Amino acid sequence: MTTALTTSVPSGATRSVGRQEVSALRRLLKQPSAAAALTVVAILVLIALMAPLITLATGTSPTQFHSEAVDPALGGLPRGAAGGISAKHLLGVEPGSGRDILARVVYGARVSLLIAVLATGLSLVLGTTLGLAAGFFGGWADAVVGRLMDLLLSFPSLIFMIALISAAPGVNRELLLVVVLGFFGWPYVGRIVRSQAMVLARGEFVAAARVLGASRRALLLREVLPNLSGPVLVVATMSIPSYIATEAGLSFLGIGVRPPTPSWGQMIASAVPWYAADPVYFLIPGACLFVSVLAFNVLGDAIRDVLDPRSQRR
Amino acid sequence: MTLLSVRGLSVEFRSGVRAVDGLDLELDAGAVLGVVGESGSGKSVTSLAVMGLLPDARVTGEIRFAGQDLTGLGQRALRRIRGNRIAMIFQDPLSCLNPYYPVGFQIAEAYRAHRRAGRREAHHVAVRMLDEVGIPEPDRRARAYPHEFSGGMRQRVMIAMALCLEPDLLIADEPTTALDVTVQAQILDLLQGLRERSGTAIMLITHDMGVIAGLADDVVVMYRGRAVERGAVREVFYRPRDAYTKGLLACVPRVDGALPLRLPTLQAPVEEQASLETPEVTP
Amino acid sequence: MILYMLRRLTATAAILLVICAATFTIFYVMPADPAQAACGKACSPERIAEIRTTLGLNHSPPVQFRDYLVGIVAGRSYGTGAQAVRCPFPCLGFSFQTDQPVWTLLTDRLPVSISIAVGAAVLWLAVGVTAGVVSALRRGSLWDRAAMVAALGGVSLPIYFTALVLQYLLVVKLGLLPYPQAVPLTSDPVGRAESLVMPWITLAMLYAGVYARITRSEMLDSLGQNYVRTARAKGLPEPTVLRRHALRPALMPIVTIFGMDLGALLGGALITESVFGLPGVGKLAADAINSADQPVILGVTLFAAGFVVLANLVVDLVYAVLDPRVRAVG
Repeated sequence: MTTALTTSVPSGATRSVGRQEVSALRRLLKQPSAAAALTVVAILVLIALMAPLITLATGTSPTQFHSEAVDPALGGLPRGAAGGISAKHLLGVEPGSGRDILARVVYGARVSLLIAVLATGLSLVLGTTLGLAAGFFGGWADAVVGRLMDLLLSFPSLIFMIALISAAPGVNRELLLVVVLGFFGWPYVGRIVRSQAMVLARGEFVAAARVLGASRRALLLREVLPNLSGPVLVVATMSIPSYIATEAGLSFLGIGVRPPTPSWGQMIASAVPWYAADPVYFLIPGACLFVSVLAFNVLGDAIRDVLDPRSQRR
Repeated sequence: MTLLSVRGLSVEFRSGVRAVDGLDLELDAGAVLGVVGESGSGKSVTSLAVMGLLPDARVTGEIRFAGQDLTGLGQRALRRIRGNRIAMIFQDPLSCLNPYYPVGFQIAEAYRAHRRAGRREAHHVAVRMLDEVGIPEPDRRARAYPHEFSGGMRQRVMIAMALCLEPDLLIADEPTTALDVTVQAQILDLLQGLRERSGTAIMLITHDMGVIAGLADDVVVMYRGRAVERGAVREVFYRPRDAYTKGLLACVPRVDGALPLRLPTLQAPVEEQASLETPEVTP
Repeated sequence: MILYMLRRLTATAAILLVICAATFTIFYVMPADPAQAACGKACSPERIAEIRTTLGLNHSPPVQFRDYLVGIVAGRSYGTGAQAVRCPFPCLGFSFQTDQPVWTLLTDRLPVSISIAVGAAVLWLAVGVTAGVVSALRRGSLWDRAAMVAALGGVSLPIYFTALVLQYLLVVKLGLLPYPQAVPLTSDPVGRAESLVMPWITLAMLYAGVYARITRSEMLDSLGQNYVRTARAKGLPEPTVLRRHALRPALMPIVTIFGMDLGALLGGALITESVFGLPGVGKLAADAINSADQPVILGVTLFAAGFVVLANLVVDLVYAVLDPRVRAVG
């Protein structure tokens, strides 16, 4: 009995992770909504990666003006029906400048996803490191990190981001967005990692590994960290859509991605004066934004359901 | 006089699991029937079926209470019986009391569900019941919340709530399992005393043979949804016919005997051993 | 209980102080020169130096911060002698654009933000909580599925997109509502309500989705509680069981979230107010951002943060009243 416990438990706990993940993925794909969401996300990523190829194929560029596509007599409205949709401009052109909307949307996907993914990465790194330190070591590390998380969570972060970004002229906006989003987002990760790490640190297999003489470092890296991958994956999937939405919101307010770099939020902002005359202009980036956020949300829900049997029954 | 008679009761859950399978039970007015069995043997499901509290399961067979078949009754008629003529207490009194209301209110609420009574009258009943189940300063404690009571006191509150309408039958589902040993004895004494005073019949569900020996007149031994043995407590305890019952009895550590080095492993009754693979169900 | 309140109050004060310090640091350590911004484009170096003195920018940052805090608590004066400008309590400075005290700007705009937030809150609570409860009671039904799909859609809708779609449909296509005016809200109730309908719906669509999802999950959680089974075993009528023993506990977490959301909205629905051109605190912030009006941005940030932090405090106190277990801890 005793020998069985000490040899099998710790190594078994780590070894089974791979198998668990495969079966979780299979269960995930069994749900039609999750499979659809995953497909949308995959397409989105592909579009973002291949943005230059797509524009090359259609022969357009996100920054090139097409004065011949708009009608100065109508105040710069696109020529033709439905926002100037034509063989050359598949999704129409921007009123006023005549820039190709397809090209801008495709490059916008790139910016939105890149910022969201990098911000998620940053908040994961910060949240996991600090949360792990707080939960695993306890004591003053826990006190400091816990207070900091409480403070950041009760902070009015959106308005603060706005203040911060608007007060920093001449800084690379995309980079600033990543840093600010990640900085205000990490406590959501840290909170979960901390509580899980606290449970795990007292868990039996960690105790067993400790009895075997594993070092703290090995314990953290080999026993605790792999067991955190589930909850962390859920927060990550859930935070990507919220970062996409926040970035778009900030860009909409004029303090996000700066033109001429296209971003969906910024495109919608510039569509506001034209909404009555040229609804296609706000519908396209808006629909892209909605579909992306929705797909990530559906996926996040599904992953949570698969990994958390308690919520699955619902 | 027979108060409760269960004939051929089967309970099947949506998942297809049959928790109770053709069970027969009989309980006389004022008597105490012990129902024993390991967890998953269908004891609790049986009690919930009697209460009509299994909306998601298919319940077949006959549950005759005071001459009336409960299985044929609608929710409205069942509601008039629940709490009023058949009351129930559960295993874990903390999770069974609503944390947001004072205990006095929760007792009064049960009373008012069945009697035309004002708030004040119902509150008086609650205080009286708390006093009756041995809670000191019942007037003050009636205004306290469940978390302010100890485990044993909470179970006393549950008993007060169950008995405030003087039911004909009290179903006690593992009433002492979650409690300390000394507190267990107190609760059992309380149940014994109440039974002597009020003449309420008790269906006592437990996995603990010791509890049955102290309180019950008759006993039914359940295994995998069926009764494998039944009879007067003395009969079953001293002359168990079934191998499973023997095993169950041997599991009770005795104060007067030498402690066995290992508790015996339970053997399934002979005819059941073939089909042990079906998953275990707890309601 | 009193001890608990005192502890919460101290924590609130501490958070507000940290927020003040952080906001202040951002603005006075960042490269932009407030004196330059205050003066405008064509400005002589002498004038800038003069402004620096008046704004107290020649002092060290800690001293400036102390002056700023004193201003908030007790009011302060800018400049000296005859030109001194008195900024009464609570002083958040003067707008670079309009020279009005920031506090006055904020309090003037607050009623609009309140009417947007409160109207939307009523709408989303009614729709979201009801939908969530019904979904939980009929789990797995067609209604449940439809409601949860709609809720997820609502959660995923960007506010400004909803706003534009609504505006296009209701105003341009159907002509049900007049074009939103950028002018101050009229005093006649009909006109006022008309201009607020779209912001209410816009905000409510987002929040109703969030609340429906939370309510459903909380309600399912409480329906599975043992005390609900006890309530049924007592023979309580089903509506009483649901209302008293399932809904009440399920609403507790919603109280918390609602308090925070309302607090955040009272401090200005930035995007909604900008899209519909409603002159609330959020619009003030958006305008200030566009014109780099630093004292106003700083003021709005603190003002909104104050609302969020106060909402936190109120929620905790309300929770202590509603939940006997928290009450006991204090």
